[in-house]
Amino acid sequence: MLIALATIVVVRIFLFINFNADDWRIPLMIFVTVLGVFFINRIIKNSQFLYPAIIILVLAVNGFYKPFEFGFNNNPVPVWITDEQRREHGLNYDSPGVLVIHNKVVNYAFSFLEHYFDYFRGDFLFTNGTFLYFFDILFIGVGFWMIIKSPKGWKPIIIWLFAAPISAALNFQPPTSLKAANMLIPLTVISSFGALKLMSLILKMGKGVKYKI
Amino acid sequence: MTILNSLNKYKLLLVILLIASVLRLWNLQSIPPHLRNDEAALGYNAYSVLETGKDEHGEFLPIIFQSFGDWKMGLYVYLAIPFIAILGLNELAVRLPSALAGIISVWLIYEIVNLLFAKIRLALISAFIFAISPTFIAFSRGAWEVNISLTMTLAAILFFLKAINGKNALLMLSAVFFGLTLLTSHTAKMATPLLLLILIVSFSKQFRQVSKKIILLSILTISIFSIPVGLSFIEGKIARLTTLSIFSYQSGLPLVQSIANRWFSLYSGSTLFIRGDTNPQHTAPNTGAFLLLDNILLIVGTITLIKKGTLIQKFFVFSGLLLLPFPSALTIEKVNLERVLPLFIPMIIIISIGINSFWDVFTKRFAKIILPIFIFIYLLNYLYFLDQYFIHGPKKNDAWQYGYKEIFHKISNFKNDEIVVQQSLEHPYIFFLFYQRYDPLKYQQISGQVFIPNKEGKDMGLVSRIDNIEFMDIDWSKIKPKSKTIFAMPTFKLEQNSKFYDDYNMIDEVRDLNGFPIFKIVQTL
Repeated sequence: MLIALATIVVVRIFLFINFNADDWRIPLMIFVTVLGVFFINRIIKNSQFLYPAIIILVLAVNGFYKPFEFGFNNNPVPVWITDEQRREHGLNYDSPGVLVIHNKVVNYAFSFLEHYFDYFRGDFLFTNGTFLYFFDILFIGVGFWMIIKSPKGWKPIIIWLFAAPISAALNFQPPTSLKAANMLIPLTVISSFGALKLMSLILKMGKGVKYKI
Repeated sequence: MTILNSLNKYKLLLVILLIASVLRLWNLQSIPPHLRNDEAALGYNAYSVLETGKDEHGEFLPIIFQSFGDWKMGLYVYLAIPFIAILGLNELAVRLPSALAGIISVWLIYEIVNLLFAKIRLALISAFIFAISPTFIAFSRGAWEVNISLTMTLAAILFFLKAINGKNALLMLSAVFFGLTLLTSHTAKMATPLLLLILIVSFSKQFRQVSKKIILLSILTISIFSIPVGLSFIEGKIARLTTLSIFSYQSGLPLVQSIANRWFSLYSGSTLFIRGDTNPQHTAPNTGAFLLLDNILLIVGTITLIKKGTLIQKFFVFSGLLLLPFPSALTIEKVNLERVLPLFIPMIIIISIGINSFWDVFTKRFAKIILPIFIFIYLLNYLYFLDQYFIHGPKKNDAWQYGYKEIFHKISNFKNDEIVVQQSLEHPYIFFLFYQRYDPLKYQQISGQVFIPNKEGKDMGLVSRIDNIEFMDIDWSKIKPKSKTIFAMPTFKLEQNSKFYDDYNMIDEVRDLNGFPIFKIVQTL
């Protein structure tokens, strides 16, 4: 199982790098993250420290690939929204209640979350052709289903997946596959796992043979 | 004693229904601040049927109403008649059927979840989440046919579940409600067959035990309700479908990709939790279909359902999530929440399961710290929604076709003058008919001459003139205005036209709720 999984993942990562970038930093970034997650998982046994360590690692590696660009200056929309919201409160525009819920912090947070969620949009991941294949939706669905059924050992991969777009979303720009390159490994691992599980299920159903991977 | 017992048993549900009622009925006549043209059309047609037995086009008791040319399914009109008879032709009377349906839906979802999961606590949580859900509040506070259709769908699901749990005869009642959805909204023509399929496959084992005679009678019942829909296809009353269908539109992308993109867009975090769809009438500003924190509950709920749910529960919920976005995914708009209301039934169930498992975990561990913090943040999130919906929502002009009520009120004083009102696809004529309570008999006599069907074969026709009011595109660069004529047009339009003709007196203006002038009324010299 592990060998099959590793082979598929390696082949797909090479394909991605081949198709998408001449930038040597992308394979390096992916390689460093893989090594990092592997060693962190080995060294830190206490889950209280494991997850923050993975998040810090992914953010640090992303920062190395592309220094964090906080796109506040390029994204004035949350400021406009704040002004509009306060104006719509009429004469109470500067009352404490209004200031607490309508401010730049809240609106930039919403904007960040919107961009963060965009990295998990199905049309970005599967249909617009730059990241994963359309059929991956099936395998990722099966993969997640199986992981939820028995999550043992999968948590570092899941944390990695959800930490990967944080730095890219801070840029307040639409998602691009290069900025999201660090999501590729966890997604490919889950997709390949799902594909293998699906294959074993089909073989089991089709031949009636006990076949386990 | 029995009443007291049931009051005691249902007291939490009654509290939830009370909350639902307050959220749906409070200030219903003025929030949203202006009728949509569809609401005005439903209301005026109900008034017309009430007064004359015919719709605005003079058709006797139609099942499908021609209206603007979009052939509205007519059940809403008939449901509005008693309210208009009692309260008169006004905003409240038109919106009440939808608001009451929204309250009944809360009770129906309680019963459905109770039957599906046999857990009172889960059923109560579902009812509560349904009662406070931003989407359902928005759709209950307007005359939305889809909201009535949703209530009918929920009633149909409830009777279906009761039928397969022993009371077989109720299957026919379920068929009646499913049939009624077809006569309520266009979306149901696709959503109802999909839901029927999901129900029959999910509960196939129990369904096979229902007597064949009842199944046949139920099929017959649905078939009878389907006749008007079938006839509408034959008679060509499908302009709405042909206008909006993705198959009659070329996006430049392969069809499968276009459909998949629309399907995925519905499940984007932005649509569900932050911005909603592109139509500001469907959600409060800066708010999604659900609250932001529901995102965590959806994830927890999904994990719990996969781990602990029965096969039937999982199939019912997940096949719903898979299939029910299609009524929206097969139209030209990228995301439209109006077309996917039934999809929110499985989503509400998942969120409730999420809360239920949160509850289980936190009553055992960290109860004193994390649970109160979560409830506090959730409450803040909900207050944000309430502020957005009730304070900010009414002030968004682009959402509500605001201003026509005031325009027709102001120009009603000029009965002997020639008046020109800017024509638009907002159909100003319907606001004139509605707010002036125009005699339906009189309008039916002229409607054949003044209603101009859409020249491009699409759904929206336009009305050119009623009495002394002409509806046309006001363009003084092409046609010089006649003297002593009153013109009502948007402020920007007057600014454009003033470059070509400025011999007029300002008579009045209509201001939006922020105080900015949006319409100007002028009289040429």
